[in-house]
Amino acid sequence: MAEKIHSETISKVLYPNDNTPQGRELRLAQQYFFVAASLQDLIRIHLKSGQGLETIPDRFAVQLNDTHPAVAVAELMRLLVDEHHLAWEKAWEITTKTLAYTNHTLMPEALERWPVDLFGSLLPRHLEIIYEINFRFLEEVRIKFPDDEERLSRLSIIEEHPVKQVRMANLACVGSHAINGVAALHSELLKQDTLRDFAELWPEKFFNKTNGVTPRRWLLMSNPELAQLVTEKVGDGWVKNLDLMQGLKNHLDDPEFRSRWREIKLNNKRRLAAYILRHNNLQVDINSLFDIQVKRIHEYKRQHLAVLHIITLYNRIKHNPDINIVPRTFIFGGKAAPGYFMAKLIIKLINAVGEVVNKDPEVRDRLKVIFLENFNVSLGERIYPAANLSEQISTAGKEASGTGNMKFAMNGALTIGTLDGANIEIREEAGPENFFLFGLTAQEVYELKAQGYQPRHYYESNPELKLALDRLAKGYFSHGDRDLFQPLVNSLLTDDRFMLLADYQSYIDCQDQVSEAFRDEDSWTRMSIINSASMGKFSADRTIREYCQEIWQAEPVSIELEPYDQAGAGLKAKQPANA
Amino acid sequence: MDVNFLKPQKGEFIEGSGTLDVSQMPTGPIECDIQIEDDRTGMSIDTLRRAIADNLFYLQGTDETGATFYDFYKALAFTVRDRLLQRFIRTRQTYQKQDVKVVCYLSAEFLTGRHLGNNLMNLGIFERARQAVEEAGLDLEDLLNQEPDPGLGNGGLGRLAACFLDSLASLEIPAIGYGIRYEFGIFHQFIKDGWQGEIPDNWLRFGNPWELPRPDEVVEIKLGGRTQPYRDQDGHYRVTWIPARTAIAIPYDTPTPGYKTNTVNALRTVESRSQ
Repeated sequence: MAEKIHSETISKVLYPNDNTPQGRELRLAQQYFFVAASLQDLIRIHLKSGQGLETIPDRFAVQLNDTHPAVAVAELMRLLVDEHHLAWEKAWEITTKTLAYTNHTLMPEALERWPVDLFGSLLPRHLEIIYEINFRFLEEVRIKFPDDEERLSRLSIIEEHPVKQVRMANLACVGSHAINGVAALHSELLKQDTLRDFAELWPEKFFNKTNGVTPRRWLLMSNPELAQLVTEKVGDGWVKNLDLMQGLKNHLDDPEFRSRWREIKLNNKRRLAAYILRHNNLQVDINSLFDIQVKRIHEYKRQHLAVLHIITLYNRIKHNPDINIVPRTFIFGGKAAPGYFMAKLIIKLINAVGEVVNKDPEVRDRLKVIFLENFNVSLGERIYPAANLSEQISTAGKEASGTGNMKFAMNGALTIGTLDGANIEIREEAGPENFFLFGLTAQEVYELKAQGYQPRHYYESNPELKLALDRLAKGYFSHGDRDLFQPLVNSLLTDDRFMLLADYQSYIDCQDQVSEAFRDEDSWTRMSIINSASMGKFSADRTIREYCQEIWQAEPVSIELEPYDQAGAGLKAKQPANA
Repeated sequence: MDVNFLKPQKGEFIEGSGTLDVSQMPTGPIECDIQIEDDRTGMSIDTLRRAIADNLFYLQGTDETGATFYDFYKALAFTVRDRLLQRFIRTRQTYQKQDVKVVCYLSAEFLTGRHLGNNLMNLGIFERARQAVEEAGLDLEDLLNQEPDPGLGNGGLGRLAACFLDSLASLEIPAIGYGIRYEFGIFHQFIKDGWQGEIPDNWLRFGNPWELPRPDEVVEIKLGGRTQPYRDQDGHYRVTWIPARTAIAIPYDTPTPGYKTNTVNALRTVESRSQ
């Protein structure tokens, strides 16, 4: 643990983690480094304006994006008390009025905790301040909930067992005036489960702010043809008021509009197909259903559930090569944290299955499996506009919100998804008849776990599932190597923490419905238009307006540019001074 | 005085471009109605083309005969940056003058994606820029693809922070994004034999035209060491932190424009240096 940090190395490299924090001193140094720089900058700006420190909350709203900047609670206290000599109570009032905290995860292992020894060796003063904050906080709790030691230990910023640790989420909750989740379900589960004790203590601090995405980058810029068509139909106001996309629904019965909508999707698919040919050297059928899952690779996101579907379709073809099947191109993209073995094995799995499926002559190109390397923002801009089907298939209760789901739907993809994160709200907006829903609910996941989940039971009783897993285990997709995918198969059969087997049949049935729906081109196009037209809620503009009104109390300020001054700007320098 | 000699004399940029012919202009106080756009703020196709040629020549040190796509990308990027800066500085001044409330969005990650296309779009000059470079025989797409994708985030919350900055500026909300200027972003992924491999993401290798270092606003950051209680002159109990070492935080501002607004907020990321 005790690595020596050189000052220059602090901003050297981003930790490539996703929902698995690393308890490394350098990571804590990074967090403190940017928080301290930000808060000092804030105070500098504030003092320069000639105002006193007590008006900081009127001039600044500081939002903590997850717990990475949570040390801000202690740092702002340190600056106000130690450096600017404010009384503790006054400093605490300023701090809590200024800070607000956004939570991004429900998974307990993803909540940041720092061993007290490590924390104290890097930030000795902050540790003292945190102890003081915690002491005063727990006194307050004791008065409200007398004789409830267990509650005290759950609320405490310091975890005592098995090792003494600083709980960053607790620190953020105590030091903020507002706490929010990022989708309706997520905010609800935070109150019921992850942050339950805080919600009971301060119900008024809790908010939901469903995430959004910017329609500028994710529609106007990345899908120019569609943007142009939308503008023709509803005017260009949609770029800043995405609700206006609703107006597209007035044109649903116009066959010419629908055919242009289809044509644009096909053009986008053609461009992605050209990219695939260049990068993967594989020819894909642009009339096939483009079925896409791009996001970080993680067991809870269940890319391997999508692979089980592919294997199932493949097995059906092998069983009856003349089966009438809707051709599909499965496209995956996403990075795995370098130290996350299972996620890396899932990438290998996708590619291994692709190798067999793509080359098998009996498949007759009806199925193609593509892994696009190095998924990033730019690749996303190519991919979202080309999707027919958006895979949002996390175990219910695990995905905080998701935002890829919004980008896909905005660009006219239909979603197959669980009732998780923002999927629920996307389905509400688009209408249940325009959304492919499957799987257990968060509540059912919880109950099934509680009554003793037996994944093997699903395996034994479902022949298609059994065949898919058996072929994996027997090395069908790994040149006979039975060891390669054993860790995945074992994990699914023994523990299956993310309940793929429980959701398998429901997923397969739902995918069969997707295929049937795709055969009806006209009805599919209508659903595509309705999805796109209904995504107004998921503009980040709506999200930001809500933060402004309910958490930040911030208002717009218009900027006036000085008019162009011909003599002063354009020619002045070119005119001889005494001409 | 003829400024034409300063411009590249060959190639598509010059033909029919709006290069100033000063010999045709009055030398005394200007009284004509002709508006000549400033090379650094003007939005017409002619002015954009002239500015690109200028930047190619003076910032990239080449001309269109020897320039690579990357040189053209940089020349266009600086052309766009000039137009952002006018609004950026004005935005900052306005916030200082009026007692506005500023949103500080603290995030360890800002996964912004490429800037050029987005900035052109938000300034409302995407099509004009396309025409300006097309007349030079170039495809705007090729230039946009020259920009490394700044991967300063893992995914979800980092991309959210970038979407929020776009909305904040588009809604004209005073805001600063505070983060870290990682020298290496999220690794570059490659696939070999079906497995993921990782290469460090050296995204700053060729420089970054979108950021402005602010060495005058550096901040000292303490690390490690111990604390020391003391009584001040008035007898108050106080604590001071005696650090084992310090680091310097150098801020870099990336101007972040709203869609068709004059608001350009700052994404302020810090780089660490030793004392």
